[in-house]
Amino acid sequence: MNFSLFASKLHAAVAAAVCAGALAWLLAEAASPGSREGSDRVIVLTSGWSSFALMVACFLYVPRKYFYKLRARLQSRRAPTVLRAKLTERSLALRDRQAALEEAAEGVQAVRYEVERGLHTSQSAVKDRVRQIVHSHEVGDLVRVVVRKRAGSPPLEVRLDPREPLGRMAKWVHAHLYYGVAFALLVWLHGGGSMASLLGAVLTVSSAVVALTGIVGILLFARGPVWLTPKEPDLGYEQCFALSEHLERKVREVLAEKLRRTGPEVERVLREGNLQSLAAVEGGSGEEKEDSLDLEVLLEQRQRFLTSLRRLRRTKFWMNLWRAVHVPASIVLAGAVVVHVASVWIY
Amino acid sequence: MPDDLANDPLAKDLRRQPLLENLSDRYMKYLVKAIRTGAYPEPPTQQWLASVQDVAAGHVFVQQGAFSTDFFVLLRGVVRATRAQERGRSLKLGEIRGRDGWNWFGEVAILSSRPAFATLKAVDPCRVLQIDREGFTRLSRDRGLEAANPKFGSLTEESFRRRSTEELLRGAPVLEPLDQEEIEALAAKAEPRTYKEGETVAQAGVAADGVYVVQGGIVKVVLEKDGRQRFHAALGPASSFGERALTQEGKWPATYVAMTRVDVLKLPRELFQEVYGGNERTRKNLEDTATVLVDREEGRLGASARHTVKAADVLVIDLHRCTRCNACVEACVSVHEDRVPRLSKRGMVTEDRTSVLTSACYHCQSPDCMVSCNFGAIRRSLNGEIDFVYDACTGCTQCELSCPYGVIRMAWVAGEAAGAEGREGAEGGGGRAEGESGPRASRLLRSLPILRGIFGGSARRAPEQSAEAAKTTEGETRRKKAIKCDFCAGMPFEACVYNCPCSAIRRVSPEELEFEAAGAT
Repeated sequence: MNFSLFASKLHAAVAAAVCAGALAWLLAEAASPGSREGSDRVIVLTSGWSSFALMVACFLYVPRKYFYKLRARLQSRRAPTVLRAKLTERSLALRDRQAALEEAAEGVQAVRYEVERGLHTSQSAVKDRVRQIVHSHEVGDLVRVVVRKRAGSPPLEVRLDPREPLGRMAKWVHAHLYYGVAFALLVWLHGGGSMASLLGAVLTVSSAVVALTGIVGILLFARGPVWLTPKEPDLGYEQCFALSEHLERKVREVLAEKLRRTGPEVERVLREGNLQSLAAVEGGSGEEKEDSLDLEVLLEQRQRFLTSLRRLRRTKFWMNLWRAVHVPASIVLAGAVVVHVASVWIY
Repeated sequence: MPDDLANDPLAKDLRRQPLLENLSDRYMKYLVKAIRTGAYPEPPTQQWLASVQDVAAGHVFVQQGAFSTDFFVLLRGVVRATRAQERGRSLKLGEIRGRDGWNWFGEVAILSSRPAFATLKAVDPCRVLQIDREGFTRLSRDRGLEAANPKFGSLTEESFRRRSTEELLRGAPVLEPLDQEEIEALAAKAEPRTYKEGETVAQAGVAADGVYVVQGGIVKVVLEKDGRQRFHAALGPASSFGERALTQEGKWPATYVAMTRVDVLKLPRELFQEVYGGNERTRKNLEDTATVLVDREEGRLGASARHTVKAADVLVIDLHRCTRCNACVEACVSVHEDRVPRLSKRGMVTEDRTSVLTSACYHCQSPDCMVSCNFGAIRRSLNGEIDFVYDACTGCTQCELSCPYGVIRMAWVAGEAAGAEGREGAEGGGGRAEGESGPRASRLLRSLPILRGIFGGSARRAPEQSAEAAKTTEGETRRKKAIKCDFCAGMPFEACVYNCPCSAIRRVSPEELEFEAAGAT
């Protein structure tokens, strides 16, 4: 199970604080979710705008994800100037300040030795020490300090990781996950699960579907790879398709040769659909026997390979099925929210 | 001179060129005919073509990295030579002027069969005489009774020697801080030397007398420790050694022996003093670079550099975290100009089948790939990383065959002329990245999970097919070149690590990996 998908303490804390705050307020005011009576109006407005903000935060994940998926590059002229400049500056800085970086790394190495000898045991003390070293060499803008606990010796892992201009994709996934769940809760507090109007029903249903499929998805992504790995042949996923096509081509070639030699009989076997008995059709000369053996081996290989490939594809299909619901439901939800906000604004 | 040639304005114009002034009448007649007809002149005694062209300012004669088979004599105008460097920087190498000194170019590409070192572009409207490879060979080598022109051969040979020497020196890491004039001055006075197989180039313990740049062949570096000789490294073409001659320390740390017949250029210590003369800044830059190189050689940077130099690390994919979403390959495609993914998801799978050590370059101490490359396209950088000089790569596949770890693979890439937007389908790390081909809008549609099936997801496309398709795409020049994972060299982060949504791919030091493996067992 990949627990790192839930690893962000910051986003978890923010989402939990928003949810706890909203619930506490609702309980303190003794208001019911979605009610528009008296002081509830303030709650409704606050929860509405908060959930809108959370939704925007969730949707920001999409451009971040597609930035690379669409082959955009930070160095590209199409990339925002600020980002491009930042990246270029960082690349050059890494090169120009190599000496300072190396000196800082040398200092950090000394800390590692101290940790190894047991001179430091406190994670925060080590982090402060390393940060001090990094800042004294003025490379804090290029690298960030990572200090993690680990089993065995040394008890702490100390790393200097490069800073990234767009932030790690994994962090965005964490934000998307936590804010998505918080968003679903706030929408319920805001609307009370109202199905009175068409728009209300669309909003309620789509937000619930998005949240549920999202949770299913994240659980599948956390657990799925463990199911996927044993099903995967020694080759990578893409090479599987290549090999499958290669085997098919070879079978077709041998088959065509057989068909040329003993046409009607092979055709009969093909009609019956029992490909395995094809190998037995031909006897005759040594060369023909060899061909038959080749075909037998090829068919067996192909069959075995296709079975494992089908299993792999099935697992991958089920692992990704949730997205077929999650993405369209999110698009519907976004559209409904825009209509809802616009109508509230206008009326 | 026959009358027809004496009165021909084209012949007269050509005769004014220093390279063509002594051209025999037979060849001049052929040249004029070939230019006029644009075909092989009758009777077909020889088969080569020539033309005179008028081009506008900005016209590119030769593109850096491309293979050129034409020789040019600049009759009028100015041509500038520039070399594109990393991070979009451009280095001006000089200008060639019509009727001024060596007013020709293209002989290095023809004689060395190497891709062009620089881009040659017209600064003004130019008039050039263009001769094909066959014609150039005839004109420079015909020494028979009706010799083409003895001067043509000797002049082009001289310019070839000088220019290829400058190219070679420009590639030596220690000479990086020098400007073009200084490189030219060094090239003019560099001492070419040849060593037989087994001969010692430099002996350990003796004072280093200069910087050596390997022109051809392999030099073996042998270290002596506890009375035993140990093979330390092999230096191939375009490698250099002897940087300590420029520092205060000054003694050879190892013995350098020719493994094959070796051609080297020696740059004596005194020559540098002559070149930088009173220029204190150049002297300091050179000494600083030399100090870094010497420190690296002696392993002084070893421990400290481990965490900043990417080369020492390994890319590991955790199979129990990876959802096979291909985001890593897509990110890899994005950050490389030629749109070829360097990441290979293949590699060594751990025994418990939970991790893959991807096929990233190990930057071997004695890199077989570098030794096998005859074109000087593989070099070691200041950081100790093995880098590809893509402009010099001919796609001969020697490095791919010689890499003991299967890290190097060949890919079809868009040629320089096609620009960086050319797309590629490389075999290997996930094959062609998903949704790569086609217009941007259709790629967007295909990248959505539901629509991918409708528009035909490319994940099912076989890598071979993709590579084949890349070859036949219209309107793009394509060539094969060697690629390998370079840990996003020149970038402040590794794109695959940075874009993995599941934190499944990471960079770890070998010690860390060893530690984890020990913990797992």
